[in-house]
Amino acid sequence: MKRNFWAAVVIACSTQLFAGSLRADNSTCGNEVDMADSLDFSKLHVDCSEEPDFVYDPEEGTRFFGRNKKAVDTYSQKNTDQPSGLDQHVSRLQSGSQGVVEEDLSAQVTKQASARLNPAEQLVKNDLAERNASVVFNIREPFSVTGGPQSALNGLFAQMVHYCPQGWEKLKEWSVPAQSDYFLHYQFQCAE
Amino acid sequence: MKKALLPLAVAAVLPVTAFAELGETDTSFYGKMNVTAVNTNFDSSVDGDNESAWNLNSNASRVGFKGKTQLGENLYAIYKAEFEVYVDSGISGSSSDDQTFKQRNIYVGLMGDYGTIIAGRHDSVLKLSQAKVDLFGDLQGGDIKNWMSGETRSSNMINYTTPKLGGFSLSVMSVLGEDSGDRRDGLLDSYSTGVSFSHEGLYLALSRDENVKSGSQEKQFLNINRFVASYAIGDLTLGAILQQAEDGDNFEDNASGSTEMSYDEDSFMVSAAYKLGDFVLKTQYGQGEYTVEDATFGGSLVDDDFEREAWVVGVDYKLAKSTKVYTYYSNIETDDNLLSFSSDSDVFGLGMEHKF
Repeated sequence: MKRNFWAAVVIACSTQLFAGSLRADNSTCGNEVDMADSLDFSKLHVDCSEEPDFVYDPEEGTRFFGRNKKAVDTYSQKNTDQPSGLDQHVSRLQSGSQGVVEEDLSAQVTKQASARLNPAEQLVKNDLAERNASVVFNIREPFSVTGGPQSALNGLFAQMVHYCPQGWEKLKEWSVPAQSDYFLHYQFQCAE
Repeated sequence: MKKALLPLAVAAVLPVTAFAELGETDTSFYGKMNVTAVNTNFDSSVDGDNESAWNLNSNASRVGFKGKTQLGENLYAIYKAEFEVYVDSGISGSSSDDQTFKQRNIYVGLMGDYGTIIAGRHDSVLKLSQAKVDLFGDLQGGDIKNWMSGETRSSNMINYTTPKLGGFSLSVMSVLGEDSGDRRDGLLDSYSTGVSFSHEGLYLALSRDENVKSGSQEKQFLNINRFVASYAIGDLTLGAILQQAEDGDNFEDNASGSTEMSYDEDSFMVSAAYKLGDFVLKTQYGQGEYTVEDATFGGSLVDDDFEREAWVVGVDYKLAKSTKVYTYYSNIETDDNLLSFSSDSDVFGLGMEHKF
């Protein structure tokens, strides 16, 4: 009797299995506590892994996400002396190119503020905001002791507008001597 | 004024969220709190009088943390440590020696293209094969452990799970015997294994415990076969579990010493859930037939044939994605002669669950 029962189960299974296509199931992610009650380790640890609460980096120690993410140094990249403009930014974003450019952002920000964006520009702006959401940036601008930091503030403001068109939160500010002048550094995070 | 900037394309290659990089270890906290006020009505198994009581239950509330370190391309070290907490009393029992944090699933392992291997303490493959077919899991009077063996969490286990291939996944869990006098000295003297298949709304699983000490019903070494099926059709989800269990090789280790001991169980359950807006209407029915010869069952030495029957209905109301309130009612009838079980018991519960 039991043998018949299990034979029936196996036949029922086989019928179901081969009745449909056998491509992988793309079930949606659930709460972590539910996914933890499963043997689908890939789903829990990688496929559906959300932003971790903290990360231990053997070189930098522990970083708490949300307030102390690893920042992107925008000024430590190579090729920082190639002039460009917002149009180049747009075309690079659209083409997926990965160069580093230099541009006069202050003028562009002023120009953008006074001009209404066309739909294509708005689309690019929204896309940029989405890509940079929650990313932490380090930026810097030079200033002289005699001239004061005003020029640096304008430049920093222009960069923040550029990277975070939907707004930002300044996380940290510091200065570093550079020859006879200084660099004013800002660390900021785009609004989500 | 020229300003050095990254192009947008650099931002484009950044992940939306900056997750751990190679060599870094990320960690996430998670958990849930589930508490129920229950009213239990039962016929006393001693004098037959009807008794009633209100209790506050913490239903497998837990906190856990898990994480990974990327060791190479598609190769990770993974870990998880999960602990039960007691929302109702703060400790696992009534004694001062009871635990504030009781270990649940804890493991460390490696995960890659070849699959995942973990070692530690974990729910058996057979237990997890039921997925969420048991709609009243962890609830007093509702959980399938009231009439099914095999709801087991095993210590000293090593588990290997294949990657999902065409919807199929296979797991093998070896449970090593470390108890004094334990005759399970081989790698596969005690194991839990199963194969599952999932595709869109269909889930199927076949699993087996071989000589695994059961965590529910008959808490001895059992051989169990379990078949699980569930299917979601729109807002309706149907599920079923069929199970057959019998005494395993080490069954007599924890029994009376008689040479005629045996255990036999045939059990099943069916469940249905229907989503109606923020409400989920749920019901399930289960039944078990047992033949026990000269074995300890429910704390008593038993030589009996008996049946147990349970049905449960309930409603969940979702307040948010992570929060719900719920109510349920269950009835369990049994014709055994055990002092530890009432012949007829009803449970009404009103509870809340919050996940984080």
